[in-house]
Order: sequence, then C-alpha cells, then structure tokens
Amino acid sequence: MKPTGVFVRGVGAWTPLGSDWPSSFERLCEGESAIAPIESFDVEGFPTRVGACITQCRSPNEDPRVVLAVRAAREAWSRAEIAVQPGRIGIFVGAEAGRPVFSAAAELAAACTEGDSFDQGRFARAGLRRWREVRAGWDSPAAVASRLASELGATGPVQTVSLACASGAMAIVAAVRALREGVCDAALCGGVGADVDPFTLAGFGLLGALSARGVARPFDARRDGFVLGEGAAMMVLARERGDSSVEVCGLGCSSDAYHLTAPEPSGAAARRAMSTAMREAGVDRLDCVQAHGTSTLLNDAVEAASLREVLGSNCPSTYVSSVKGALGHPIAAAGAIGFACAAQAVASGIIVPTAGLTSIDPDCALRHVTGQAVHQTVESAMVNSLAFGGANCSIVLRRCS
Amino acid sequence: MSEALVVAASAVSAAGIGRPALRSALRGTPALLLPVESLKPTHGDVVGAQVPPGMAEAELSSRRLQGKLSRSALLAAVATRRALAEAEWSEGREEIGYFLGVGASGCSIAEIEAMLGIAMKEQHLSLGLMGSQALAACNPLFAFQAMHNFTLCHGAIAEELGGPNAAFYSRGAGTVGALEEAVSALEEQLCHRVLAGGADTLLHPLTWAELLTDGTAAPGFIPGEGAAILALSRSSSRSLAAIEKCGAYSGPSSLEQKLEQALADLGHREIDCIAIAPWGEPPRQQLRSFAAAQFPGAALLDVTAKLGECVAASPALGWVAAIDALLELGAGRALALSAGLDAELGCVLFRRGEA
Repeated sequence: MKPTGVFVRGVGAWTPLGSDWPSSFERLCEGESAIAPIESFDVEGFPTRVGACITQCRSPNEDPRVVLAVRAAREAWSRAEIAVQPGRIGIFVGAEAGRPVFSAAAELAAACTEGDSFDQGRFARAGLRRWREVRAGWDSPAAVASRLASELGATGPVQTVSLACASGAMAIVAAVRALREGVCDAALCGGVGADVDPFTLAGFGLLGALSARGVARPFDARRDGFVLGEGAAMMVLARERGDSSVEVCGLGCSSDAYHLTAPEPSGAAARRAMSTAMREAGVDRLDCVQAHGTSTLLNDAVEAASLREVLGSNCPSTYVSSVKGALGHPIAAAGAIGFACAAQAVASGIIVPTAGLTSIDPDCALRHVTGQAVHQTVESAMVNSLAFGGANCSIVLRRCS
Repeated sequence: MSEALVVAASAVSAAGIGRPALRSALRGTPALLLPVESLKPTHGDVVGAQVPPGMAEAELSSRRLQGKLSRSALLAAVATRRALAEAEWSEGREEIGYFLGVGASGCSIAEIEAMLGIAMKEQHLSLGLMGSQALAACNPLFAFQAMHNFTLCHGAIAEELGGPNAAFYSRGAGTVGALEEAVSALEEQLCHRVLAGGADTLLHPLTWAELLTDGTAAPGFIPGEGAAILALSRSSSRSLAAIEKCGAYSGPSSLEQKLEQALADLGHREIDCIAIAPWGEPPRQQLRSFAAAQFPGAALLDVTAKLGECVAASPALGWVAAIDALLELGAGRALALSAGLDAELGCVLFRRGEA
C-alpha cells in the first residue's frame, strides 16, 4: 500500500514542566529540567530519590494516568478544530499497567501479614475485603482509552498498546495505519505514564537502570542511568490536512529479539526501524532527530551509533536531542512526548535542547542540541523509541506546504 | 483488505498443546476442570481450566528464560514455538513480525511473599526496608513482570523474531486488534511473514481476588488460561486458511448492533462453522442466537464454555478452533466471533486454504 497523507492537527500534553503543551515546550526550549527530589513518599533507602513528578494528577480515587491523558486529549482536540463523525474517530493509547495507591497497598499488605510474615490465606480473606479499596485508583490500561473515547464521544476503533517505553510511539503508528486504511478519519493518539511510585522506583533500581547520582544526562560522558518521569502527550491526526504543516510520512518497527533489559549491542534492529521509516518517507536526510536518549550507558551508545550509520554522510548536519534530561523517562508516554517535540520542530523550526548534556560522550558523538533551542527550518524529523524488551519504533514527519 | 494466508495455527489451553487436543475438547470430551494449583494457597480449591501442570514448562527449556517468565509469557512462548515449527519458518526470523493481545503479566505470588516477608515490620510496610532490601529478595525482573509487553518480548527473544511488533492490552478486542495490525503489516509490506495471537491467564491470585470482588467469579464461572498463535504470510504454496475479513467492533453500541454491523460487513456468505468465544453468559446467548438465526446450518463450537474464560487468549483460541474445523470438516468458510469484557465484538472470517 502506498502511504496516504496523515497530518498532525493538534497536540496536547501535560508534563512535569507544564500543564499544557505550549508551556511545556517553552520550558523545554529553555533547557530547564523538572527532575527534583520525590516528595510524594518516603524514598529513604531507595536506589534513587529523584523523579520528574506531576503531583497534581494524583488523588485517592482516580487513576493518575486517566487524569493526565484526559487533560492532554482535551487540549489536543481543541487545538485540532476538527469536525468528524463519532464513528470515524479512533482512539489509540500507549499505556502500561497501573499501580495501586501505595498507602492502600500497604494497608492490604499489613492485613495479610501475621507477625512479620506474609500469610497467603489472610491475603485471600483480607484481599476480598480490601481489594476494592486498593483498586479504586488503579484502572486497567484499557480504561484510559475507554475514558478518552467517552470524552470525545468517539465510537470508532479503540486500541491500547502496551509496549513498555515504545507504547506511545507504537500507538501513534497504529493510528497512522488505521487512518491510511480508511478505518477512521481522525485519530486521538499518544501515550501516558505515571510510574513514579515505590514499586517502579525500586524495581528499576534493582536492575541498575536508574541514575544513582539522580541526574539524567542523555549522551553525556557522565550519564549513569535514567530518572523516572511521568506525563502524557496526545495528538490528533487526520486524513484531512486542514491548516496543518506537518505530515506523518514514515513508520518503522522492529524487535531486538535479544534481551529483556539490554539493547542489542550492534544496533541492527534499531537501525532497521529507523531506515524503514526513512525509506517509507522517501528521505535520506533529516534535519533533526528526537532521540530515545534515556541516559543509560548502553542505550545511548547503541542509539548514537545506529543514527551515525543510518544517517551516513548527512549525520553531521542532523541535530539530535532528547527530552529525558528535562522530563525524565515517562515510559509509556515517552514516544508520544518525543513525537510532540518532533512535530513542533517541523511546524515551528524550533529544536529543543537536551537538558543535562554538557560533556558529550565520544561514543555518542552526534550534532547534539545543548543549552538552548536551535532555530532553523526543519523539513523532516524523526522520533525514536527503543523499549525495554527490545521493541523499536521510529516515525518520520515532514513539513508540508 | 487483501487476503492474508494462515500457514500455521497453534493453541495451548486446558485441553493441552496443539490443535488435536483443542479439537478433542471442543467436539468431544471437555477439558478437565481441576482445582487450580496456583490458587490453592490463597483461595483453596478453585476449579478452573488450567493447562495440564508441567506441560508448558516441558516445552520450553531455554536456560535464558528459566525462572523469568510470567505464566502468560510462558504460554505465549510455547504457542509461538509451535506455530513457527508448523510453518517451518526456521530461517530469516529477523524479519518476522509479531503482534499479540496480552493481559496482565502478573508476577509470581512467591515474589510478593518474599518482598513482603522482608518489608513488613510489626505489621507495617516499611518503605525503607522495601527500597533497600525487600525487592532485592525478588526476581530482578520484578518491575517488568508487571509490564504487559513482558508476555510478548519473551517469545520474541526466545525465537529471535526481529520484525515489527506490538503488544495490545486486551480485554478481548485488543487481540483482534493485534490480528488487524498483523494483516496490515503484511498489506503494507512491512514484513512478509507475521505471527498474531493472544495469551492470558485468569489463574493468578490477584486476578482471582479481583474477579471475586467484582462479582464475576460467581458459581458456574470457569477461569482459564491459554495462548494461540496464527502464522500469516502474503504468499505461500500451502496454507490452512485465508483471512477474508477481520474486524473489531467497539464503541457504545450494543452487542446486537455490533453483530448487525458485522453481518453487513460480511456480505452474503455461506458459512459452515462458527467458533464463538464470549465472555460470560449474556453474550454467549447472543452469539448463539445470532449464529442460529443467520447461519442455521453451521456447526457451532463454543470455546470459552469448554476451555474457560481466558480474556486476551479467548479470541485467538476461537480462530484456531475455526481453522481446525475448516480442515476437519472439509468446510469452505468458518467464522470466529468473540465478545470481550467490554462487549466489543471480534469477527474474523476464514476461507479454507490450499493444501
């Protein structure tokens, strides 16, 4: 099938730097970082004590992912100014497992404990009484998409992609495919993550994936891991261009098929995703890349080497940046926030810098954007998502006039 | 939609592993319902439709994966291996796509026990102990066991599947969405071969606790587990079936309205066999009535009635049942209808392939 036009009609986001996309983007351009000590729970003893949190999205009775996604969706939809029949609107959301409100989980744990030992029988009995309470603020990933469908009155296709750090990007890919196939005329798509909680913090810490220094420095020689973040970015894509100046024109996906937590060192699969997206877009050069750039040792080095190879002689002229130095790593939202930055770069000619990057690792040598945003015409841009578990996803956008 | 050819179809269920076992349970002796081992410590003798103990583990002896797999990931990996073997796709796996409908991964209750055993102090959960010591007592992949793509990436790693891939969270319809994506990947020539299916288990203490509290686990409800995978190709000298239609019908309309829409989309077709995979009794009666009214001569196979409720796996088990019926009955067309937790309808139409 020949790609048909899919256009970016509206962007909305709630990030730790701002409760809407313009304010988030403005602060990203300034090189600010939202990473700060976690105050929502006691982090004494944890492998890291910082995160990029959005405390306002949390309440005892509502899933924070729903709160984040709904606000981002409303913003994107209102900016899109689009009129489409409800049955022709699709919803595509990247979301991972929710988490119970920790205090409720702790009460459940206490109820299941005899002395200092966990009692499975008590778990069953206490669980039945307390489970509803624990579940009150913790919905399934599918609940986010369902809620967004009701917000818009959308009755077209609904999909929830759970692909770890590539969830948001892959949800956008699914939306683009549905639009190209004519399954819907407009799609609300993106990702949401709200994972700064004790379970995730300790779990990723155990893997050695989190920054012990508590600083996210993508592609920097001193990088030592990522910092957890949270947020949501939602886009409205449509077959009708309207006044959009950004077209989604290339998609590429692959799997490392190598390791649960480490990227395949040669970067072969990551390159395959990038080159497929560029080939489909019909471009052999890019003005900028919104990299996955997590700030982990291996991921950044593999991604940088892959970009050098894929971009070839055009690499020195391609700007590269990552928002994870500013926003941490919001897991399922990461690709969607990266997409928003790439779309904004194409639309406005402003490429955000990589916060925290001051001493470029020679292994990660690229034309990095540091300090302040770069202003230049961007004809084409690519966003990368390279997930835990080995799923890779690249999307190319281009300027249309 | 151009046709995708089904080159292989594998199933893991309470009936055992493979299509003959599935066939036997659906058309003859139902799968044995036994007290579920994984629920015994917490909930006593819950009767369910579980994959025979040890059977899936014996199929997957990879040292790389031992002790790391959630139950759903194990079942998916076994079904994936079987599908690849039947398709004889031993070469060029780096280009094979992989799309799954998945449910909650669910870590082992022993991991939770180990964690709480250290983190609890005088009946209070100590965050300090949890952060500094308790999680160290768990599988280091604890955080990943809660991620849904865990179910997909184990199979991809074990079988070296390097093509386009995605895990769709599924309460039924997501699995049909995974098949749609797989067919789309073939159409757009993102890959020439692709696996699509679903895997899930309800036989986990946390899931069961949830089903009890929301009233789902009423008398007569049979929790199950399983996985099923189709191997699809754009062209092949032999195929089990061709997919003529594939669609997920979501939105606020009733199941009856969705069935009407699906019927209109199917057009006038002769259908010889219908495999249904509904969640719960009201949808079961609706799907049965629909089948009887619209296709009165068609043989009916009820997947979830015989194999238990498997959520993300149920639609895919229905596809395999439909394809198997095509082959066994020498039939022309088979329809697979699924209705998940949100009353979303899945509808897949298969035509018999070329031997």
